[in-house]
Amino acid sequence: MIKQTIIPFGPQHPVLPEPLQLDLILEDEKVVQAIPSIGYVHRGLETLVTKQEYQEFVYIAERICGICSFIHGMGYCQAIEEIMKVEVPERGVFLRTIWAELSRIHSHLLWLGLAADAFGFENLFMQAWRIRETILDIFERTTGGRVIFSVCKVGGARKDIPGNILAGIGTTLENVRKEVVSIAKIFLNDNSVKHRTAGVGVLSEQDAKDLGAVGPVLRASGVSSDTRLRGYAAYPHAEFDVITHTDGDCYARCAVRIGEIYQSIDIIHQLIPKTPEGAVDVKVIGAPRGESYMRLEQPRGEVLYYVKANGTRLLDRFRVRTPTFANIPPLVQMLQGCDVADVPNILLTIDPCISCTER
Amino acid sequence: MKGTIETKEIALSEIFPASQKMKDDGYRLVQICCTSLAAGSVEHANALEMIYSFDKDLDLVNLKITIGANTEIGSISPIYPAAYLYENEVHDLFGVSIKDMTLDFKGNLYKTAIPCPMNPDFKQRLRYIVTGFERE
Repeated sequence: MIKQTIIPFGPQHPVLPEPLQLDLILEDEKVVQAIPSIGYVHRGLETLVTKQEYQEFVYIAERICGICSFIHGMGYCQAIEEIMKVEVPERGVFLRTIWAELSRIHSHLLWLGLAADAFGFENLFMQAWRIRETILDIFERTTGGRVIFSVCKVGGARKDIPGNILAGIGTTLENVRKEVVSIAKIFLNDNSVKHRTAGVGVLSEQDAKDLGAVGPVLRASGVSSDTRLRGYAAYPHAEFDVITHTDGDCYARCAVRIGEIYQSIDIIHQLIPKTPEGAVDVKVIGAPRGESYMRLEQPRGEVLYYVKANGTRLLDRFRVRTPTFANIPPLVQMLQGCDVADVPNILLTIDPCISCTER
Repeated sequence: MKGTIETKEIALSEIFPASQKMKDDGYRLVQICCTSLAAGSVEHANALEMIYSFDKDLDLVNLKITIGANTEIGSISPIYPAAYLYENEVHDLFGVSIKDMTLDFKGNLYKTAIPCPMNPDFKQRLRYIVTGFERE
């Protein structure tokens, strides 16, 4: 019988920007089991909802994560608006959707860079992040912020985007598309990259379903699931198909995210000409009473917000089930049987966001 | 919007068979959420509400149970393997005792400054702080 060795992977590791620990049980150089451990930086943001007024809590919701910050704010606002039956003006809804899709592009480009860094392709990492800067420039021009925007509010958006800038976003995104095509060739066709991704960290379709995988991790295993199909925000005004892959490996997860960058650009192209004129917000008075379950599609997958309100300006409960939290059990499954050298690579392909997990 | 949201209140004893039925019907586990009912009324000062959410084709079904702060509940991780993470979270933040979890972190999933910070029962929280028996 081969002797088993336990290697602690993390919580501090070059591939991890945030703390997460995996106890890797090895036989020779094969992982036979991985035991996850989180909670090193748990912030208790959910409990702050009992101390901050519901309209101010948007700022805290946005700070759950620095990458999908906008969508966290949007999800919280939508949950409150559903309870209070607030009708957000159409223009506000469209602008929110455009910012959400820009967030998806920027998140996937950030991930492509991190993935390239993980398999040692520094130049590719820099190219991906250089392209991402263009998206951050759009954010800065339209919201004033590059990471935290604070443009979402209960009742709509805080800022409008002038028509000429909105049209300019479409042109800019076409340039982004061309640049993404150039780096996508390397991610998808280069032999040295495929050697690190193809056939590595396979998650079968059945395992993905059974273990509750979400987002690109789920879709890369062949499951056609996308919360945007619920038709929230302005998504009913855009036509798009769910991007799936069947191999369930690191390569498939990479291919799905690249496909979703193009998809987000297409969605924004469809929404810009349809964006109606008018107000971007309505005044919301009173306090919510009731509960809401709001599900959105973040770049990393489905997120669920549960809000329980008691009719005062302080809420009883705000709960976020983030995509990374849901993707930890599938990650553990992916790691079983892999080479220890592939662990960083596989770990990164779930696009782990510990900020989200440690909300 | 597409997809329905249905919420059912069930008894504690029904959660395991109800989860098994959801699994058999092809639902996936979306989340397990715990909420303190302390803010709602004096009557529920130490009560907790557990919500088990399941999804199938964008339809969301929530099963709700109300328990006391010291009630022990059974794990559904033998049915839904991913449930262990949610159950450990509920244990660490609210102090709910859950038996038969497939992977039990024994209070070490979250490294919080004080054990069970979201448990409504201050005396129980204090007991955890003093004895620390929840963590091994």
